[in-house]
Amino acid sequence: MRDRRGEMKKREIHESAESFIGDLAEFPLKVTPQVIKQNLLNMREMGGEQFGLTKGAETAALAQIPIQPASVEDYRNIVGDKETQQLEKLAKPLNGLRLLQLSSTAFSPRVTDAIGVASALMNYLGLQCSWQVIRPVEEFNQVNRLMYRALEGYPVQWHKAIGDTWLKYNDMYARFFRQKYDIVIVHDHAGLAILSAMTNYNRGKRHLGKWIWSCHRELSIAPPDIWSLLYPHIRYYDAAIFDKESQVRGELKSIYTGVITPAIDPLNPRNAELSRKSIEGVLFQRGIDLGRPIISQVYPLDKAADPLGVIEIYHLVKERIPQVQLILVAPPRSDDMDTRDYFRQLAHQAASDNDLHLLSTPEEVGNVEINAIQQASQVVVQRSVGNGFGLTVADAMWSSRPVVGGRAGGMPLLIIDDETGFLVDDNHQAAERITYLLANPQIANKMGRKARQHIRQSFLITRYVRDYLKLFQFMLSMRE
Amino acid sequence: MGVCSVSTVVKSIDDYRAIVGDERVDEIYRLAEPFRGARVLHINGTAFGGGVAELLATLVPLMQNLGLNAEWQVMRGTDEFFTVTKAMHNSLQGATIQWTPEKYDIWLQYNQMNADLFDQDFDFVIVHDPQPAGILQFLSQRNGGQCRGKWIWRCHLDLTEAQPEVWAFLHRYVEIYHAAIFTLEDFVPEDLNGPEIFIVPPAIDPLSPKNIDLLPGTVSEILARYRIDTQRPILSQISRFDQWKDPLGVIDGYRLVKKEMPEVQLIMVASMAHDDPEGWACFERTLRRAGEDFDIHFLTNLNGVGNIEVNAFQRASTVVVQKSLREGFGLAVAEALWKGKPVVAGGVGGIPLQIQYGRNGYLVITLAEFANRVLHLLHHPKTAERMGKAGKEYIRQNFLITRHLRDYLKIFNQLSDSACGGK
Repeated sequence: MRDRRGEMKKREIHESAESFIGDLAEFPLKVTPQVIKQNLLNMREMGGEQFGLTKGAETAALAQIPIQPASVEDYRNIVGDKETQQLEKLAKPLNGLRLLQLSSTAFSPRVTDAIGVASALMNYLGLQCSWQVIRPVEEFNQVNRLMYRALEGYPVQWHKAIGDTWLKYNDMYARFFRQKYDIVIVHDHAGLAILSAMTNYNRGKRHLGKWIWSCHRELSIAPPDIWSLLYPHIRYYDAAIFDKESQVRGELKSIYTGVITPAIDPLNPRNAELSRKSIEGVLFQRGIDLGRPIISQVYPLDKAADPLGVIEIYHLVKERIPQVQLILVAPPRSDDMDTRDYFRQLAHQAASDNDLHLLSTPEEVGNVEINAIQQASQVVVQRSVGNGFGLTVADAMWSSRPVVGGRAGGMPLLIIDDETGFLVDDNHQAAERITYLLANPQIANKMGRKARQHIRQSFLITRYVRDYLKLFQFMLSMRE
Repeated sequence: MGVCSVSTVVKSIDDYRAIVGDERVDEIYRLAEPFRGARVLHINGTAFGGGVAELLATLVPLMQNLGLNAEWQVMRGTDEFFTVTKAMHNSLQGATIQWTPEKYDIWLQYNQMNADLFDQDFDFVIVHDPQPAGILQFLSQRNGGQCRGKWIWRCHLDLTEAQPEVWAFLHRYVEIYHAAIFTLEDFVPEDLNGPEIFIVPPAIDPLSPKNIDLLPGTVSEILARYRIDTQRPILSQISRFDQWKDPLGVIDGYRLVKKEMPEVQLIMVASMAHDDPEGWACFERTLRRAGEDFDIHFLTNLNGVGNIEVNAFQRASTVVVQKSLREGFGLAVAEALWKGKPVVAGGVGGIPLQIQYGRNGYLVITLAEFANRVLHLLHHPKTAERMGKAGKEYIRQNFLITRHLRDYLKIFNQLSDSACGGK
């Protein structure tokens, strides 16, 4: 059986090498009946006995992530007494509340803010937060990525095995889940079905505590395959929370739905102010001239984000302001072959133009460098964010930069048109607005100051924590 | 286009004159002269993360700057392939795995697929590590035993304790290369007789964001952003998370130091690579060992820690450690020495080549030795400073990218002269 499948796979690879490469998502999945056992064995083999990977550790499928302590006091100077006092007031009745945050990764700047820093602040306010992540197992990761891609609107050749594998792992996680929390927040789809699986183990008996599903994807446009897979499991939750209104899907009426917009942490290295000297030093080694105007765009390199659009905008601006430079930070998503090809196109364009700086791995561009780039920019551009929210724009606005953004994703929420920057509909309009801002630095600076004010009011982590505390109070007041 | 080209930035060899001197740079120009226009291809497993990718990001543009028609391509693969190559990688460095037909079938399939995509001719092809090593075999099968250009297998691994069956398998595919380059004499397997053998230790780029000079003010600013206290002593280890870098041992050693010097802090920076599923499991175990000691700072590229940050962390360190149990070469040691820091490290792989005991650091075996030497340096800042200076000079003489480039050019020279096949 194995050999025949191997044969088939081999033939497919050779018959359609190019198309196979074009879309990884369509690669046939390996599903064996003992998939979970096999993967645990693989993990042991790869992890090495040396670390004493015991049987118990193996099966504890969820890993505890320590939460670095943080203090609300550190934010008082930034957000003001009123905000911190309100947090304390809201947290009072929640003192001792046992909260679990469950996610599929502990590694991304956004996750660190949204879960790590928010949990730390909640701990400071008297709650008892824990954070667990789903232990990485290659096969489950693979399925997870396909599901992400489907939810992001990429064509994914749907395969029953995707759903089966997802459910099998959720089933396993549910077996090892120890319920001792008042509230559980499950982030995104990876562990979504743990709740339904647990309920089934308890023969349908109501589980303890309140369960919140926090969804960061555009569910309203989810293709039918993935929607019909997720929907029955969402219904077990007490509430579903989204990043923005448009993500909420009509069918979800049977449970409580709400919106908590994402936020940035002003104390993150990506946002904390840098001295002029440091900015100069960091940019100098990249060959960027601080004496000439700089426009920049930062986002994950992704087809949906139209990376070539911003280059067209830059060319249009350069026709009128020849000394302008573009810094494009486009860290490729390394799990995605498409983006590598895209990167190749970009690099090709960048190679012939000394004023076009394309920064990416392998010289990894980190928080400090992104921060320096945004602070050094006269105007920050965000041509498109695909279906994401576009929080990098909030970073730039917090650095008092005016932003010219395409009307998509979270842009209309972040950018107040004609006040903190401009919302635009096409490349020509974007170029026109950027040229205008470059020609009128006083207006640009004024907009930048307003931008920072707007972020302070609506998009900092303290507001995010406040929204969650309100939600917890509401959840606890709901009848069992 | 063949496999998958990686674009690199433009670099100029003349920028290195101020660092290594005119004499060295002029020598490189001389050596490169006969190879103007020569088509050179580097192939490796990943463009993202890891020492090889970092090396190629500098080496390839410098070759281009010297007039060579150099290119870098990454082989195509998916998770199942990289899972196999990771296991293979480990077994070649001493771990024991089950080397099943399933595994080597996957390796063969992806190598064949990449060979099928190969559609250009080159004068020199340098294939890095085991991942793409099989391409040559499939390519020469396709071309009826013939293959244009000189094929060089660049092995960055220590093969001395390779699992015999895995090496026997790989051996068949690398035996047919014209040349093989190893990092150290010790790493060369005795039964590799086909290729001409060269020894080239790797090197660091003093002008990369990871190594370039930073203002002291910038360093402390960056440390403050990561909430690391620059007033207290700092130990750091920069490495991937895998068992051979002994991250758990680093934490244990730090704990011994902390007993005597409670104010000490530890920074552990991991560059997590995509082709490294095992790294995740290891990272998690390390987190668990650290528990709730928040003087241990875990930072990774996936949390937005970039090369500027790594540079700053090394410069802010009082002592840099590299407690490896096994190493390819251990370039992180050279990076730290280049920043004028004394290094306490395990004496494995290429580390003894970089550390001269007592002059620019210490080689240690036991945990107690590790803690003793670190404490000694923490207690004697003048000694630490003197060692740091010696270390920087040692790296300038021996382990900068210009020396590496020169070695490659010499090898091209030698292979062009030799009789078998060729341009």
